[in-house]
Amino acid sequence: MTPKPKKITKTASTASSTANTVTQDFKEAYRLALKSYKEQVSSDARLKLIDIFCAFLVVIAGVQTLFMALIRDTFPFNAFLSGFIICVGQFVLLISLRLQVQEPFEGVPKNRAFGEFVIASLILHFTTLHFIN
Amino acid sequence: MQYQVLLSLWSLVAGLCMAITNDNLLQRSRKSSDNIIELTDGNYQRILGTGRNAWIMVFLTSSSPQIGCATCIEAADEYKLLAKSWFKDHPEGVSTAGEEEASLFFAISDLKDSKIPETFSFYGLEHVPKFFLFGPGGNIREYETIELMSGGGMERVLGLVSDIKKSTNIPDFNIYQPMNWSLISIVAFTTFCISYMFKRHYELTTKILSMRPLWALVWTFFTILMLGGYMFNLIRGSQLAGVGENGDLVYFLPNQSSSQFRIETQITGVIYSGLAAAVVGLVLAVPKLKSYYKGTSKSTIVEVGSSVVFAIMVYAFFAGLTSIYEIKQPGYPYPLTKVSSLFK
Amino acid sequence: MVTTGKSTIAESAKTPVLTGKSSLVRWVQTVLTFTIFLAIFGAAVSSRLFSVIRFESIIHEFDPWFNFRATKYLVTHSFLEFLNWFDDRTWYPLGRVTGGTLYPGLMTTSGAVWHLLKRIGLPVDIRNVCVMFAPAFSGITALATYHFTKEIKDSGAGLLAAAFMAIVPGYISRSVAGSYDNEAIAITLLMVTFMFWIKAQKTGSILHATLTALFYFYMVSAWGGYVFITNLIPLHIFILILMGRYNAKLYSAYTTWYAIGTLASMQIPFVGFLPIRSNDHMAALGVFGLLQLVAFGHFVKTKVSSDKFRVVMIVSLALILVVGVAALFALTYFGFIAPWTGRFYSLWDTNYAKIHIPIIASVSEHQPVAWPAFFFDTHFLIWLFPAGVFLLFLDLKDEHVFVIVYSVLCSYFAGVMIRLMLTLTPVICVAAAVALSKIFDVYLDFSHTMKNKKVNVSNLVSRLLVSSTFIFYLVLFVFHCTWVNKMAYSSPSVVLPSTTYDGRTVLIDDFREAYYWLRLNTEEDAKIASWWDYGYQIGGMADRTTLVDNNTWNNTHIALVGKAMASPEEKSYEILKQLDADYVLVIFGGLLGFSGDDVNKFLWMVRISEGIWPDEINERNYFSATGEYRVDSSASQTMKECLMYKMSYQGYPELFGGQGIDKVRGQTILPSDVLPLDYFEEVFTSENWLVRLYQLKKEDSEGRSLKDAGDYERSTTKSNKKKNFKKPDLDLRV
Repeated sequence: MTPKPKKITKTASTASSTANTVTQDFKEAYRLALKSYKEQVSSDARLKLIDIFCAFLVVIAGVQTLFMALIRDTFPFNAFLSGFIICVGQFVLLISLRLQVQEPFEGVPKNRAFGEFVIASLILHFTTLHFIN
Repeated sequence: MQYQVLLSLWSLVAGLCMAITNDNLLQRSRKSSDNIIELTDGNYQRILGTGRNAWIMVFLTSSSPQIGCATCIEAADEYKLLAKSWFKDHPEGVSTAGEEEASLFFAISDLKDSKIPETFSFYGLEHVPKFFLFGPGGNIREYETIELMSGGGMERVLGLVSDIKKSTNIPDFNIYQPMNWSLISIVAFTTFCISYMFKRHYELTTKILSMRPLWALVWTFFTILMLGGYMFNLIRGSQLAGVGENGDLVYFLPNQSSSQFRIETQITGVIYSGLAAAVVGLVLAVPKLKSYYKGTSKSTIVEVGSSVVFAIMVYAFFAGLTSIYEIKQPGYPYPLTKVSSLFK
Repeated sequence: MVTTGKSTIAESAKTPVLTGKSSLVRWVQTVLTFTIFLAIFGAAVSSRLFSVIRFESIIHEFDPWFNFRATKYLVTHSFLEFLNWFDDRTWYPLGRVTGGTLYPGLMTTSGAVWHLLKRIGLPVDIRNVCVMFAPAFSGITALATYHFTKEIKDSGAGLLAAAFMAIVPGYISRSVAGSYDNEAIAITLLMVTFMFWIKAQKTGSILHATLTALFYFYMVSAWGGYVFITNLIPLHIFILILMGRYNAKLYSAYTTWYAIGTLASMQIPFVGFLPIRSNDHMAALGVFGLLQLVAFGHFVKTKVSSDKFRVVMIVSLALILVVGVAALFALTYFGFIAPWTGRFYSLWDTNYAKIHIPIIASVSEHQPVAWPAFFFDTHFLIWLFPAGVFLLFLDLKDEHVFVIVYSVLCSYFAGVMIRLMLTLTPVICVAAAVALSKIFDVYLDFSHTMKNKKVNVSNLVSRLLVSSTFIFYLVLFVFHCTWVNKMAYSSPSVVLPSTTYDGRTVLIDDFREAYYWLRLNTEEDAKIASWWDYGYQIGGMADRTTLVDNNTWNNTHIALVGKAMASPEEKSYEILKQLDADYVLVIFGGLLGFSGDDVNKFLWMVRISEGIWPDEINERNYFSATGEYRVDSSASQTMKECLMYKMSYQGYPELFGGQGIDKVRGQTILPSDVLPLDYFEEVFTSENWLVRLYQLKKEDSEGRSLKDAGDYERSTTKSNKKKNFKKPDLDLRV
């Protein structure tokens, strides 16, 4: 839910203090989120595995983009594109799986979710392979 | 010999006197608030047929309800805009921007009641509206017809302007659209109201904004408008209603299933809304009434009565729909009012 | 067979009533459902066969002829050759990279069906596969509609929707036997994709989302209208997020669909990199990004106190929005992303097409719709539809939001462009079925009455009254649909039906007569100049090279042909010589009263060429002095001198012995109106004068200009005037 822009201005009378509170809020939110995340991961090894994989994908995608930026050429554009998109695609599939590992959707047990994940990944890889030439 | 000289001299003088000056034209223009000269049986010969050095645009039209020319009424407004814009830039009616000085005036000849103006018979007019552009000189028979584009609005005005520019070689003829103050004020007012409501009654506003039946009504209404051919009216600029042969009002463009009047959207909108309301009544209102009166003696009557009323409402509206469809598509074999035709 | 549809509807209404618990009832239910499906399938196919029965098994209209030609190419060549097909027989002298500029889904599917049938020992002609393709797929559409509506309400509504979908004229209009067009398969795929999408967002299952993506890919391969899905699904998600209904299921369904679907759609050569390059697809990308943020925010929200979260959320959202919109503008400005395509833009700004792209505005499919067309195409569904939308609003589950968004958007689109009626029809069927089944749920449920010992007679009567009126409307609907199909949607438009004075029906076969003449009497590499409408038919039936065709990819080339038609003879001759054309084909309906002829289309030719050469062509010159479009003696000189006029009316007054009456325009043409033709000579005129063919004359052997030669000829043979006109023998027809 995107909350209605209510009374941000009312929370603080001057602009500088508003900025101050906002940055503090950000810090607070960041700290709390990190803390609870650590708790969550340490309790479940599978989540850790998924997250490492996710981080790995982000790194790969970054490296590809960097490479493209360095050589200043996009020449086999479909090769770059498929390389990049498969990272994104695999990433969102992993996140989808992670959400289900955390809290299974009704009607989709965990085992089935994993099976679906494998099928979807296979299809994704096949299309990429076809696209990359 | 002397007489001859005198005669020619006199005719020269008379010609000069007879010739109509720009000042005279300007004066006549100023008489009306729209800066448009009104041509009457008395003055048209003098204005159009005597020597002058101004261009005159003449609009032949009819605002008489007996003629029932909807295009004329639309075009009249556009013509006023044309004249107004011209005199805004050129208060004297003279443009000096071109290679040579040129002046332009606007005139109108309107068939207001049953009496046909002489201009109409003079030019043998069969159709209105017409635009004639008379060049400088003063030959009453020498004019150029300017086409009126179909589809009204700004586009047509600009078309007229470009035609005038082409013919008269006047480069500076700009159209000043009148500010639509009513629209602006409505928008401003509603924005103000909404923001005020947000500020003051936050709870109430959010409650209203999250009211489902309200949204449902708004969007259902929108859908009904679209199904009634609202976009057709908008794109084609169709007229509100037509006039029949005897001068009576025609609501439905007969025999044409791919065209319509504006009023048809409104009528079908009412029918669709009635039908949808009856269906919603059957689904929601009847069970609700039934549970409300449960156990009382009225319960049966209310249930039976309301459902029958809604069913009849559906039938009546649907019958109306099919019968107006029959106007659009003659020979439609399944109008509800002639149910017997089904079983022939 | 259509009567089956009637019984189907009546039965299907009763099905939800039988929700007993015993296995026998369930068994009966299954059998009944199965029977109903068979009946629906039968009704769907048989109501589309009118044209085959009344005429013959023939491909209809214009575009299907190209699809047919491409399919023939596909089954005679390999798939790779098909994808690399460069067609040098159209758009002469440019040619067309056909393999890269078509949506191959339709041809590939029918090719596959053909191969399959051959493999199982049913060697069917490819033409019959193509003709029967659309009816067969409409059966599948009905099935998909059933499953879709089942997810929205229940199986009772589903059966109703399926029955509606099977026989609703709005869909039949594009899927009768022989109308072998992209839409025939596209609507099926549209419904299947939406069905899987609804399932995916309901369950959050990755598998369903993957299936959505795969069918989306199939859809992309079949029809340009896939952009509708590309924008509708993100819009659904976006509205759900706005309503505060985000959950993890939406994330997994949408992101999976987007990632796989986008990657897959880029495999189609015609689509290429569009999904990341064009603004039409940016909404989907934007929602994809937004969903990542919302998911992250959701995660944070569960950990941080709500007050602080709100501030964090607002600030970050505002920042992201600003950056995102700025980036989009910048990328568009620097040309990395293509702006909205003209066709898409013309949907929002309704005057856009009229001013900027006359070629789009000229197509009759792109005209706005008046209300009778809606009623004609959907009968009583048209008023059940708003009621259904309203009722869905009151429930408003996630999947209902989808149907509502679809209804509202599409009713707008259909109002703007008549061809988009096709995408509106499925949702009309679904929403109407929901409304009707809600009525039947209330009034056709007699289980309560059966249980009670004391029968409430008046109650029973009122229930019977309400339900019987609605069943009556259903029957009426079936009759209406049959009538519409018979009346409007069963003519192949290649063969025209006509009634003689004594009431017999005759078939007017001029088109095929002329195309066959071309095939037999011209050299194989002859180039035919005609207006673009007939390009596909000439290619498909006459097998000759054309200058322009219905693909309309090159506006300038079309305008050039238009200019040739609108110019005086000498100029046209020059243009056509430059284009290396050998023959000119015009369609003339004056004798027959066929209103879709070239003289009526002529103003579009003028407008389109005026768009490119405003100095040489001016629309106003083609009107008479009184500003009307006339073809008789009051026609303007420019009109009388232009090639189209001369070719249409050449020798026409003489046919009547001096006063030719044009039945389409109701005007009389005198011999003096029709100026002689010097640079072209008539080689063929079909039986009813519908198609007229002219050949470009060779340069004069004595070095005179052809006009001088013609003048000389006329002055010497003035006495023998008849010689100029000779109707060709009909023996040429084989």
